[in-house]
Amino acid sequence: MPAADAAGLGTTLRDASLVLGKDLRLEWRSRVLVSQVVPFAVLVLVLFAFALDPDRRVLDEATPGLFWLAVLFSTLLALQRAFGVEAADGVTDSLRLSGLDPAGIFLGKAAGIAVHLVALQVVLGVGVTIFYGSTPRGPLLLVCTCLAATAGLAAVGSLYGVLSAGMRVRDTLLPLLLLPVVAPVLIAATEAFAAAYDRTSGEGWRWFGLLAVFALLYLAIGIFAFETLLEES
Amino acid sequence: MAFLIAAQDDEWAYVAGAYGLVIAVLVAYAAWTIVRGRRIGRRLPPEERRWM
Amino acid sequence: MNAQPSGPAVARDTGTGAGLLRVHPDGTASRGSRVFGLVLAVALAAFLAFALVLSPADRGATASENEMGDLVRIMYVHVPVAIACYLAFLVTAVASAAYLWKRTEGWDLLAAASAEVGVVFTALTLATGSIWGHIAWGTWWEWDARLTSTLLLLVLYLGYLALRRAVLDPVVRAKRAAVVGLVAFVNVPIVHYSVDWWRSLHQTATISRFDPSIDGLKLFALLFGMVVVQALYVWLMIHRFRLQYAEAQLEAKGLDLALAERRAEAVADLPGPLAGAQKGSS
Repeated sequence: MPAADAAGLGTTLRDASLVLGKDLRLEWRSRVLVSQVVPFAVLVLVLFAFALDPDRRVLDEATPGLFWLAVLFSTLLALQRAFGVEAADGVTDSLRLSGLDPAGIFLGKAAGIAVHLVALQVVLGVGVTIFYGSTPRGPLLLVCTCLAATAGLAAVGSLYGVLSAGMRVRDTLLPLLLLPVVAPVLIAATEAFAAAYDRTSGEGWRWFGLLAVFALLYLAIGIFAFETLLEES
Repeated sequence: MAFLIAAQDDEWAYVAGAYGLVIAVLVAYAAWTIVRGRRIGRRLPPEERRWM
Repeated sequence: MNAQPSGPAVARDTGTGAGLLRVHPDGTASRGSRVFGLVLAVALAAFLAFALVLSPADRGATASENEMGDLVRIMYVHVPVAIACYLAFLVTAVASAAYLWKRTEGWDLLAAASAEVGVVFTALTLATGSIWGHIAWGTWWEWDARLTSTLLLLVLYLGYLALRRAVLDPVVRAKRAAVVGLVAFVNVPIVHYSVDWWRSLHQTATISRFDPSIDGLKLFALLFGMVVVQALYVWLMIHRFRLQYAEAQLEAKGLDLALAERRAEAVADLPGPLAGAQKGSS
C-alpha cells in the first residue's frame, strides 16, 4: 500500500515539524540555550585549558577530544532542559493525548535537540579556534562528522530523555544511562576530527561511516520504541 | 617473556587470588539472594509462592 | 485482614523434606532446586580439583607458545565466567524483546533477575581478567577492545538496574526497562568495533590474548568449567527469579492495599448518603 505509506509518512513529518516548531518557539521565548548552555560549554573549554596547560601545543593536540567532551556535557544540560520543562508542565501527557504520531513526536524532539547541538558546535568550533589555536584542514569531513554525530546524539538523547522523564532521580540517572551508550560517538567523532585536523592518516571517513550507522540505528530504535515509552501504564 | 619467569614465584598467589575472589563473591551473592528471598517470602502467604 | 507478617499457623520451622534436602519454609528454594544445588556443589568441587590440582601447568614439552605456567589456571575460571556474563545479558535482551512483544509480567521479571546476576558475573570477569593481565602484561588495566567493552557493558547494566529502582509504577518500569535492556545489548557490538578500531590506530602490535594451544586435561578443565559455571548461572537464576516474582507479588499487594486505603479515605471524605452507598457496594 504505497499510498497509505506515503500518507503515513506525510503525517509523521507534519507532526514532527509541529513538535519541532513548538520546541524552537519555547527556546526562542526562554533563551535557555543562549543564556545558559552555550556559556557553560565555553566555560568547559576554559576549564580544560586550566586543567591541561596554557601551552598551545598540548591543547591543539587534544582539541578533537576536548571539543566532543564539551559537546557531550552540554548535551546533557540541553536534554535535561528539553525534557524537564515538559515533565514539569505535564506536556508529555498532552503530547500523548494530542493524537500526534509517536514517531513524529520522536523525530520532532530529536530535530529540536539537533538544532540546539548544531548551534552549540558552531560556538565551540569558534572557541577552539580562538582559545586553542586549532585550524581544520578538512572542512568537508569536519562538517559531515558534526552532522552525523549530532544526529546520533539527538536520537539517543531523545530516547533516553523521554525514558527518564518524570522521575525524581532524573538528573543523576540520565548521565549514567546516556554516557555509556554514546561512548562510540565520542570515540568516532574524536577520531574523525583528528583526521580533519590532519593529525592522522585518511581514516576519517571510516569513522564518519560508523557515526552514520549509529545515527540511523538509533533513529530507527526511537521511531519504533517511542510509542511504548510515551504510554503510561 | 622475562617477566613471566621472574614472576613464577608468586604465580600461585595470583591464581589463588583469582579463584578465591570468584568463589567468595559468588558465595556471598548466593547467600544474599537466599536471605533476601526468605525475608520477602516471610511477608508473602504460602499460596502465592508458586514454586512451593 | 491478611496483612499480618506471621501468616497461617502451620508448623513453620520444619519445612519440607529431610536431611540435606530440607527446604526453608519461607525461602526461594524448592526440592528440585535443592537437588540441583547439591549436584552443583559436588561438580564445583570436582572442577576445582581438575583446575587447580589435576591438570598440569602450562610448561614443558607441549607448552603453548607463550608458556603461562600455573597462570593458565586463571583461564579456566575467567573464560567460563565471561561466557556466563554474556549469556546473562543475552537472556535479559531476549526477555526484554519478549516483554515488548507479549507484554506479560514474567518476561520483565526474567530480564530483571538475569541483569543482576549478569552484573555480578561481569564484575568477576573484569576482576579475573585484570589479575591475569597484571602478571601477563605487567599492568592491571589495558585499553584493549574486549576489556573496555566489558567495562562499558558493566556500566550500561548498572544503569539498567538503577533505572529499575527509580521508577515506581510496575508497568511503566517494565516498559522503560525493556527498551533499555534491548538498547544496551544492541550497543555492545558497536562499542566493541569502535574500541577495536580506536586501539588499532594507536598501537602497531596487538597484545597476545588468551590463545594458548591447550589440550588434554587442560582443555577438559576449561570445558568442565564452562559447563559448571553455566549451571551455576542457572541455579542462581532460579533463586533470583523467584525472589523477583515474590517482590512483584508483594509490590502488587502493597499497591492494592494503598489503593484501598486511598479509597477508604475518599469515601470517608464524601458526604453522608453517597459514602453509605459506596461502602455498601465495596
